[in-house]
Amino acid sequence: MSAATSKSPDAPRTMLVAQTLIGVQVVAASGKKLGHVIDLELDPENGFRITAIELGRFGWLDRLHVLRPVAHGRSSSGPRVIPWSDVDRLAGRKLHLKTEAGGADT
Amino acid sequence: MPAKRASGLSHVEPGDEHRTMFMRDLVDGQLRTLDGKRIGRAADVEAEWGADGSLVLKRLVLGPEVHLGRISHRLVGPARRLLKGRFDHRIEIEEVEEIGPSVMLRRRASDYDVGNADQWIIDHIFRFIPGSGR
Repeated sequence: MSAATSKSPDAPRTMLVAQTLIGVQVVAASGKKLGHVIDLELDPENGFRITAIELGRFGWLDRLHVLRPVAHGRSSSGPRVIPWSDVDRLAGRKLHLKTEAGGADT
Repeated sequence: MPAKRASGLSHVEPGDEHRTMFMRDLVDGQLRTLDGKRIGRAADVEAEWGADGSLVLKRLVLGPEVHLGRISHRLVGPARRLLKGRFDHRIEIEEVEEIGPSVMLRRRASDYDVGNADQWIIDHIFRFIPGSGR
């Protein structure tokens, strides 16, 4: 399974989601690094579509929620969520967005 | 964790309508069949790109090869050469009935081709352990 794929028509059509997407770096349209994918939101009511990506700043530490006890009370911001519609392409281990900040919720 | 039906909001418990589902609810979740048997854990989920740029989940993937790939991308090649996909199994995502503490499937265990690794261990390993009841 190739880790390099994109939304273009000639890209590979299938992928293993956890292996390919979890942990990849998310890059805004300007090239600014926003963080890493720690989870994906999905919609079971709509054919199990991926609807959003959840961003973390510390990679696997965020994925394992290691930082949650430390961050609790010190920061009011939750995980940043970017709608899947803002995703442009996946190239190698980088997920490129169409927009600057991806409309990230904080 | 409250369970959520994969289809049909009428089955969702009151107050649970807006619960967001995540990949972590599916991946590594215990798969339970209609007859209550545990048949393994989803190591990953196969998805397909839609023509409109959407990414849609299609199949749960079980097996050691996929697990190794999640540990490190460097293990993908060696695992593929060694195991040759012999122990990988797939279950269509439409088979998922409910997502909760376990991932509930629509049919009985005998309807799914997921190998018999657990049964092999019971038959060949556990039977030597005193008190196993075999």
